[in-house]
Amino acid sequence: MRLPWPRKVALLVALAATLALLCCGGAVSALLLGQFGDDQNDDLYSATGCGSGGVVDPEGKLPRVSRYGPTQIRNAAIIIKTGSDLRMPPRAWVIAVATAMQESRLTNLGNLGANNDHDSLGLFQQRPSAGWGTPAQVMDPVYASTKFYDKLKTIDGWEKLSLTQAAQRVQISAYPDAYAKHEALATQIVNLLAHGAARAVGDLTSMVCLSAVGQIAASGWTIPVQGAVVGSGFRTPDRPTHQGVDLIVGRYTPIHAASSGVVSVVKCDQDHRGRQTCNVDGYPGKGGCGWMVEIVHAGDVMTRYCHMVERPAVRVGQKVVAGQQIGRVGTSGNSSGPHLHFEVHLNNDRRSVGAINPVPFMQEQGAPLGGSG
Amino acid sequence: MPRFVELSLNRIFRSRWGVGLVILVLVLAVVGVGRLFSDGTNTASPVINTGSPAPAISADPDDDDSVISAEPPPSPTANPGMAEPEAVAYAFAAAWVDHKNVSAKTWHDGIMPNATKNLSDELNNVDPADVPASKVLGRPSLVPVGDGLVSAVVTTDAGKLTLRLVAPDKHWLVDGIDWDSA
Repeated sequence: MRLPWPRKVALLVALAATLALLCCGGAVSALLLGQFGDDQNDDLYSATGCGSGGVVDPEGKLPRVSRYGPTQIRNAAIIIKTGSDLRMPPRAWVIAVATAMQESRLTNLGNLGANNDHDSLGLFQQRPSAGWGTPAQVMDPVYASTKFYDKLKTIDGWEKLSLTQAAQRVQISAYPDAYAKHEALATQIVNLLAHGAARAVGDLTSMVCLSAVGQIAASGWTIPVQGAVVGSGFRTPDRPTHQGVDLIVGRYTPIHAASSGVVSVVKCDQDHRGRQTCNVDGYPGKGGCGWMVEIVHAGDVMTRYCHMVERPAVRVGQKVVAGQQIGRVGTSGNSSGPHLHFEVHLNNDRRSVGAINPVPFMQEQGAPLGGSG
Repeated sequence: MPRFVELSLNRIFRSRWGVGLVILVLVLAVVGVGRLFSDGTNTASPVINTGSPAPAISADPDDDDSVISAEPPPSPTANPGMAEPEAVAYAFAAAWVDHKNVSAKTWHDGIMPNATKNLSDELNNVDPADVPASKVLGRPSLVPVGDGLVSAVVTTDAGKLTLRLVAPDKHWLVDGIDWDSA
């Protein structure tokens, strides 16, 4: 076979280009992505562990946190240290830090003059006229934190409430949901200032990682199904469009809300043919999530739970607390056997692009998704 | 041999195709080295072990077992004779900002008709002086979150009031309040 000279070269170039794309196409993207996420603080303050390292001395060297200056972080350290000294469990520290973030941006506020509608002062904006103490007392961060914890303790079952509900019971604010948006950063600050204490069991002072059924981390997160193994992972090379993880566990296993929030979706997801048949076992290729629930949590994190065996036990608009049962494991929809397909989305973005890998996310919250294999 | 190399090089660089080919080889070499380098860092980064001998739960790897469609939730509707969510949000916000020279009980009585029992309880004993705004500006803008769950943003003279409305039995009520100062 004889080809004219330019054609031969064109063929060669095309061949070489094809080979190059096949061989090295992923390399450039691998180089560009996958090198983020370095934590500047991690050599000084352990990024792992569950708080057994103790709390950081507020007078010592403190880590940096993007949105807050050194004085504010020092105040957070005082709040945490006071909680630890009072033998309050770590969930209380997260609630207290988030509350002070909302009330004062962690700043020990004096009187704001004309902007003060009333006599609120200090980190928690406590009011001398409402019996919190003298102006000088509520301006003392240790005193103010102590008063906050003392009142929190009196609230029946505060450990089980959502963060914003617990904070509201203490503060009695005119906008009760306002504390929720600070939960994620308060968790991060407690982790930094107390060696991962927000990953410890929230209502125990013993500073241990989650190990038993029904435990909730100080971050407010818990494991959605007990005893599951992680099967198919998030966007694996084999299943690049798998937007969650498959937690393999027996039929009828209770499914729990991974954190407190508001139920936003309850439905039987239709399959590829438009049918809504979720009360029967599905099969691979049928399509759809089966019986499913979505919950919107603090900070617009959304979790999705698929393939339930029966109509979920919650309704849209219902407030749920972490660990509350929302349904039971099944194999409805696009599924070959009983498992919970679990997704985590950011910015309450329901689309596939909003999904993140639930495994490292849940690990970071102190609620790792069970053993593998 | 050197004569052969010289000839070949001459031939390659005299043709524009030849030069192109050399550049291509150079690019391939650089990308190849880059790939080796990036592979090295990938294996060094911490990896949480999710690898599992358990079988993939969907047989077809192209098959996504998530929701078929994640279209936005439907626009909120109200039963005939019931107030639309926009009206509920507006009435609630107007009562919420009305906090000057009122007793705690009067203020609470004002917001109660459009609040769920749960929110009403959460607002027990609130000092009206804690309300940062005094005037509603404009109409609420609604963002559907779910079928029977709507977020309503109300602009006030001092900031943004965000209300969460729920509709147990299609009867819209405010169930949550968030606030961002301007």
